[in-house]
Amino acid sequence: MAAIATRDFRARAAAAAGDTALHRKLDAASLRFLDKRARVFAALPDADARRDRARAVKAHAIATLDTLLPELERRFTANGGIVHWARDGAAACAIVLDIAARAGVRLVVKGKSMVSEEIGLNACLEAAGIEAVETDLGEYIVQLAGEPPSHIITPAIHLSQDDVAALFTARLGEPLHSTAEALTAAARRLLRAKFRAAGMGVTGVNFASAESGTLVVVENEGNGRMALTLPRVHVALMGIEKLVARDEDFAPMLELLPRSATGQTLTSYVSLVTGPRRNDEIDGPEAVHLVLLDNGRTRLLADPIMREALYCLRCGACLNACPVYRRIGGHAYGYAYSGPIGAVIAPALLGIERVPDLPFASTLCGACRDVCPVRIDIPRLLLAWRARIAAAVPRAWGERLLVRGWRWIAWSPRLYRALTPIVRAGSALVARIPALARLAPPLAAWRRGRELPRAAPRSFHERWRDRRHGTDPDAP
Amino acid sequence: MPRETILNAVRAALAGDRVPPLAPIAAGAADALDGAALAVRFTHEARAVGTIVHEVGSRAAAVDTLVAILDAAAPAPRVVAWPTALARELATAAVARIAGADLRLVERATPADAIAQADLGITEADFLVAESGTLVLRARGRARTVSLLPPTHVAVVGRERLVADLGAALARVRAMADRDSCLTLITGPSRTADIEKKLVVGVHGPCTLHVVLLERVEA
Repeated sequence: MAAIATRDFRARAAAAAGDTALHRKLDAASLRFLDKRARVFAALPDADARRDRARAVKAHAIATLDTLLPELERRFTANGGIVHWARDGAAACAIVLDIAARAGVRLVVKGKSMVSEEIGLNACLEAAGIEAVETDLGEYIVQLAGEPPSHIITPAIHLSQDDVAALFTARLGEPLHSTAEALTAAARRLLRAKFRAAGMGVTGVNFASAESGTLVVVENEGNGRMALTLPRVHVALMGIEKLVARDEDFAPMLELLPRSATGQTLTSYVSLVTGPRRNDEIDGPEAVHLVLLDNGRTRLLADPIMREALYCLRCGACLNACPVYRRIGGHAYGYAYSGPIGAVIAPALLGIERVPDLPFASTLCGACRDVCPVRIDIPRLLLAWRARIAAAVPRAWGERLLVRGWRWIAWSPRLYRALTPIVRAGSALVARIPALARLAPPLAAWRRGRELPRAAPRSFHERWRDRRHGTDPDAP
Repeated sequence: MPRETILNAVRAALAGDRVPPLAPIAAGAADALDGAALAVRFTHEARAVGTIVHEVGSRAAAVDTLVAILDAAAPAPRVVAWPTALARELATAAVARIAGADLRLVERATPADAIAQADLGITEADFLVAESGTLVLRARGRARTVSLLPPTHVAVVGRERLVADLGAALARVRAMADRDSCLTLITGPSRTADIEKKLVVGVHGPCTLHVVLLERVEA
């Protein structure tokens, strides 16, 4: 993981907003995901009922975490697994390092895990002299590039086939201008050797049931299965919000997650892990560790407005749907979790003083809420963060003045009506002579990269009045 | 103690919350389908994700199909197979018909390298999920790597193992007395779309997945 750079959001977003090559790559992938998602949801006769049910499952689990967490621990331990608790990322990394040291592990293969990105595990392992290899193709690509992932589901969404081919040529000596098939075959060959040599496999957890202590790992490539089958030690990293109460809750969640994430009915592989290899089993790890991570999640839990952010399945649909994400990409957010859901959870996990801008990076269009499989009301949560940040972190004077002025005008119909012709004339004048905007520095700053909208020739109030009198010239 | 700190924070956050019980998950509409209709649905969904489904009427036809798959996979194919009754019988009969073919029944701990060098792995699905074209594989007495390391995976299974949806399959597994350390769901070959959304099969797991679906398993 790169250092957390949420404070650099404005500069990074501004740079990305001008990168048309990036926009093409983001649009190509995101819109394709969204299109496939729409088609598989349309094919479900009861899609809305399924989303309601999935939300109810998560809401129930989050509201009963106090009993479910000890139950998960009890069941997973009874299955022969070992449970660890980590208050923050540093503690989680220390736990993994300790497990690796005790088992004499020099090489770790990793399945895709956003929690691992959140806690910066690779840097910790490497600082301790342990090689950590990402094995999901997209994660492997960004690791070779020395970059963090830029999307929850498709980590290398910001790279083209040519970019990846050039990277494989430079770093691995693969032939120039390779196709996606050839690049994938190269990764398969190189990573097979790593899977067979590794002493530890690290994966994330998509769902876990307290009832039986079962961990569910969802993936398409088979690298997750490799990581949780071949090495003698398996470490599963899990945020405490991934729990569900019962095993019967798995099916409704598994029926929604791949549909939302990639438009698949089900991913190629789903592993349901209950513990280490048993006596009458032929393969699988000798030891399975489960690391339960808080890292700010109990703060979200204690926050009645923000709590529903813990229902998130990390499907990435809100990233694909977000017009802001599609123009700036995941790296601009400066954190493992990007897009609308990233802007909601980053202030809670990192503290608002470290995340002063992300909740403002939204048009509040509601596309994220429309695609969310568990119906998280992301725009409402973003607005709540904005109010809290505005109260805690003073905004720029120009912005404060503007908002205060607007409130004053909007509260007075008489003032509003009186000012309307002036604003209309001003906007027409600025449209004709753009240099005029320089007279007002905040306006000039706002206009960099934006068009100043021209006020309509007649206001809504005017049209309404005319319509009632049957004299609206714009009426159809 | 981080455990107590986290649990105390959770308890404090939830203090005073009243939580209504969760309703049981109702069975899906596909439950009403009979065996033949489930087979049609399974075959349709599995083919849609790139699984090659062979519907056969008898054991003899299943062996013929396996021989054809083995012939196409490699000259003198090296085969690893589960020791379950149906997989053992069909694999043994098919391999016996191919000159130079080698069969290894994986009954005890076997180096992963030996399984990885096989051209083909044969397993037996415990259940088939019609709604998603999914194979459900248990781990007890069955090497997980047989369905993972060789470039081709063939699952043999009788129609009576078909269930309507994932919920029904997982309920059937839960009803079994013994628990495995790992249950694997497989829906199509290993795949990725990480480079420009281009679909590529055979990333880390098998490039090719066959299902030999027998109408009747009893002789």
